[in-house]
Amino acid sequence: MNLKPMKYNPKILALVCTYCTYTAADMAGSARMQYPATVRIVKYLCTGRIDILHILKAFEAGADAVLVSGCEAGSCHFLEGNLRARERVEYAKQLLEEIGLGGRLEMFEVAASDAPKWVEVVKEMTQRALELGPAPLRRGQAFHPETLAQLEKVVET
Amino acid sequence: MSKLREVLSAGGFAVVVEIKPPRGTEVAEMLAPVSRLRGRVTAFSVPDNEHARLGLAALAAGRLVQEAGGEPLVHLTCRDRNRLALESDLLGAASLGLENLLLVSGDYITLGDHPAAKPVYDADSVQLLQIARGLTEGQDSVGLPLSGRPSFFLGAVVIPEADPLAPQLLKFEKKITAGAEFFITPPVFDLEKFRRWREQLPAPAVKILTGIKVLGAAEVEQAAAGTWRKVYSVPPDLVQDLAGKEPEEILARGAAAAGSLVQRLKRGNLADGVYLKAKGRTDLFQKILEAAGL
Amino acid sequence: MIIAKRKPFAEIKAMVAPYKKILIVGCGTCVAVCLAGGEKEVGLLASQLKLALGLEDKRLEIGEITVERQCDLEFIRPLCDFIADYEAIISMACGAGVQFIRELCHRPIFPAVNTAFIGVNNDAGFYTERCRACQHCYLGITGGVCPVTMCPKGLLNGPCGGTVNGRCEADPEKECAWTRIYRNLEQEGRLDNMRQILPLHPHDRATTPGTVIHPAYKRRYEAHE
Repeated sequence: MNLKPMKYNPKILALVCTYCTYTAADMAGSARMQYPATVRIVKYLCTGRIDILHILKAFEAGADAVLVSGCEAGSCHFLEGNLRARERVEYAKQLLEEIGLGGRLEMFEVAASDAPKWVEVVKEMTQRALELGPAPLRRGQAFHPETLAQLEKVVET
Repeated sequence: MSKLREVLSAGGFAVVVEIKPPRGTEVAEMLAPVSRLRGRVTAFSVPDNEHARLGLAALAAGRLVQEAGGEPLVHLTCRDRNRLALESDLLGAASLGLENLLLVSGDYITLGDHPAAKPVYDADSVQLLQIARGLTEGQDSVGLPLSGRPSFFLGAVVIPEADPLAPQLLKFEKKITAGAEFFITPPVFDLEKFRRWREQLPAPAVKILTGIKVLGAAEVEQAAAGTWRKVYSVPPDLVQDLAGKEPEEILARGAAAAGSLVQRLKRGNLADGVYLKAKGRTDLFQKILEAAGL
Repeated sequence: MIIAKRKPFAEIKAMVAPYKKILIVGCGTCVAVCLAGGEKEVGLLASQLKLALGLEDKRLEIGEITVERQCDLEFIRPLCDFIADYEAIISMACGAGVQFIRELCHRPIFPAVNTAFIGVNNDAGFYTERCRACQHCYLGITGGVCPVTMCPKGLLNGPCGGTVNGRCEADPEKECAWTRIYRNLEQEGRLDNMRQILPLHPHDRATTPGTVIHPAYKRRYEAHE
């Protein structure tokens, strides 16, 4: 008998700002809007605080995709934080392309009142992660061939 | 004795024709103009890895010109050799009886077909003129005496349309101080502009051969497209006249125009001679000479 | 300061392919300023390597450390204590630092940056060359513009015949160095400097590898001369 392969449920890390995106996400939750349960939110005061290393570490930790979301250009609560985040995300994309992990990082702008947009963003990133497949550092979670054989034996008896 | 020097010092009108060293060892095409035109032309000019593109050594080509019965004018650039090699080449030229030399800095290495090669420029054109003159006075660049004494007729380049002009004129004077006895210019198309420039030169008595060029199809296209980026300018009406025509027609018209320029230059006594560039083609040179009445 | 550029990632990854445990050493001076090899860049490179090797189901143990600068023994001596634990070292310093570490500790060492030039910091991320360390500085003669560095041909009696609209024939984005020299000297009333013929450059004083001993220390290092 063959064990069914584990279903791939993307793990997406969302680095968001307090004043805009988190507020929108919170509102989406209160309004019971439905969206894939793939996102874990890391709440920053401002996306300007995001370090490129945080993004790379997110992938090291096993994220299949990372989304960064802040205030709309011109509306950053801390004036320019989101602009800096934009530059950093662009550079991080280059670094990820270099190592063959392209396409898994994106930045979005979600205004505080725009809960539907938050839902769209999560759906989009989830779709992307599904298409790209699990990130390589998660492959360690696959079964060892011996383990698989042992499991099959146990299930048979 | 250099025929070029003789003609110029006697106040004659020198005609120098530029031939094209091959990227290879087949020299028949390069030498074709020599055998056909040696009676009508003062000297045949041999560039040295022109535009930083590989060509058969100018020294060797100069010797071949001699053997074909022509008088050579050999270029020596500073780009590809250090001072030791430059001096050595100069002695070599002298030993082969190659007297006429054009000493230039040389187009930068990245502009040519060996962009990754090391650009040397151990000497610049002014220093090279000094070195060459020093050799004619019996010593090398470190002051050691030579056996025998080379004889050279030294030339350099001056850019009438340099922008800015002042630094170029300063350099022109330095070249004369360093030993330049004649100059050639990049192609000229506007004789009036050239005349005005020559009149206000600090040393108007020095011998100048005006560059005259037959433009090719690629150059006309560039000029028409507005992407022209050279140290000489091409008049818009000439470009219009030539644009869109077949390559051979462009060359033919260009040769006719060149011939007319040469004629006017000679009649108006605006220069001591001309330096003709026509893709190294005998037929085009003949056309120019005919149109100029030479 | 010295400006460097980080090597393409693929090249660095290939360098350390044979190893299982490496140390990445950063430098906190020049390469940190030009964002090529400082503490931050060490962290990014380590992370990139882990991720890239993870893609191939490989593991690489990576130590990370950044010292003040790698061209001073006092800062790299402490590395000796634990460098033996690693199979190989990636140094993110300029060529001088990479070599100094190798002279100190006997492990295969790999450079993570290509050292570019001696230059200046115009603004974050924007660095331009100024000096070629020719050991014969002409700046006092040429109105503060280096003919050896700023002119690609290094002409001492420029300009060449390739200037178009005051721009360099090798790079039309750049102003002709001798056009600038002329302008500066004219402004300073010192154009005579440009009228004199500058002699051939003495390359022999810059034979590599060079040594400089400060006059005050001549007695101490007599043996080195």
